[in-house]
Amino acid sequence: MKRIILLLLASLAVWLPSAAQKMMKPSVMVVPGDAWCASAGYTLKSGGETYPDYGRALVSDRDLNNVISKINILMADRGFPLENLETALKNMKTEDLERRLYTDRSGNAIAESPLDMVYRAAAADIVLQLSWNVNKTGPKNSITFNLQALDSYTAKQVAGVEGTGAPSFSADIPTLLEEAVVSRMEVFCDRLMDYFSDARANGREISIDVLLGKDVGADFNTEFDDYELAEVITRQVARNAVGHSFGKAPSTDTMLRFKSVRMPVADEDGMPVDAYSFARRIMRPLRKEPYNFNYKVISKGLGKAVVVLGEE
Amino acid sequence: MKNTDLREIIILLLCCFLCANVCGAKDKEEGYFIPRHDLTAEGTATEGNYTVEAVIYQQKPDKGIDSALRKAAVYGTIFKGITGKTGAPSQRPLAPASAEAAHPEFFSRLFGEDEYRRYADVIGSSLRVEKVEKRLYRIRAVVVVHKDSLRRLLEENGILESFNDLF
Repeated sequence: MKRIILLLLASLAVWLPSAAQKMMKPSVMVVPGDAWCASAGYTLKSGGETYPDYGRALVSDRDLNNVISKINILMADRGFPLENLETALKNMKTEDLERRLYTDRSGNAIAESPLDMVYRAAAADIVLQLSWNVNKTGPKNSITFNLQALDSYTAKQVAGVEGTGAPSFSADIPTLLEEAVVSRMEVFCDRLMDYFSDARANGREISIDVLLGKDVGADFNTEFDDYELAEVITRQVARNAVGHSFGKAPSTDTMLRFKSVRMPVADEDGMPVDAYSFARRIMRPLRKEPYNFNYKVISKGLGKAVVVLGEE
Repeated sequence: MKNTDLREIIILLLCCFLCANVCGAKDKEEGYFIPRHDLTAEGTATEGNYTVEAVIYQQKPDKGIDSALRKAAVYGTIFKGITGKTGAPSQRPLAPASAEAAHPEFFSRLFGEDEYRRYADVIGSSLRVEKVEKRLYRIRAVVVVHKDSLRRLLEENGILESFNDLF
């Protein structure tokens, strides 16, 4: 009888659907699009370049605040709360203060370009770029709305919606904007969900850069058992990528760049994986014979890691 | 292998076979009828709802219209999606078509009983009935589908995945 129960339990275990793998949750934030910032005049100039001025846009444009807030609410309703740009900007100001204090004590200035500041402000794994414009046809107004989800590491658009709402004589701009957001967010969320489902099934696309440190004592052409170091690393990337799927970006004598590497979202134990832990896994054999490399892995977010060979 | 072991395995397999047959028979007995229908996005969207113009075709113009419109609107929202028009974008179906065959008990309960009525409301003043041929009427009305509640129901019953399931 015991055997029957054991057999029954074993059969049930096979029949029950295996628990779905959990992924590491990306940070997602809505920011006004560059084109919208430029047309609305919310830009700052530095070194001949023009950058979006998120802080001024948030303080000055009530419509922008309303739209971002509405998107955040609708995404939270779907179980995916977003990071808030205004809060991120406030945190950045606190960080700036800390950095200045640190500078004063050490005596070394920390250089940061406006572009660095923009990236730091929108330090999200996926950035939702929002833009709209008001169309006037005689006495009627309509809104053309565009929302793009961009992967910060691959620069690929992973979801998006755009379209023009019905022209109206009477509705004001905030009402038309709200309608534009509400009527399109369901499709947007579905597309974002498709992207995450694809990432779970086929791996999340990440980038890995491998650099040579000063004291590495080798270059990418150095041979080990008839394989150049670049080949060894490339084979390791291919071996660990889902479906051996990856691409190579232009590389130099001192830098090997991999892009669109399909990283599994969880390891053998079902623990969520990010680019940092994946890069460490790829490089682990290089610590052993015949390579004997030290290396340092630097995390650049969920989807990017930099490996420096020859450093610890 | 001992005879007793073999007998135990055979008994187990027979139990599984009988159980599967009983479940299958129950599914086949449960059926539901969905009227022929079309859904088109209507007017402006409100948060958590779809406002659609539902068109159904029936032999009788006055019997069970409210239920048929609600059932068509809920079924169409789940499996067919909503056709768009200028100013009212189209909407994708909430679930893949394969979900109906994969979860027969759930959908028998939703459409075979009155549960679907909780997820749609017919705007009474919008009801229009036209005779298109002998014993065939085209019935159209504006229906509000409570899509957030419907989606939640599908997620809670494992028909749809939510963001929470992924992370």
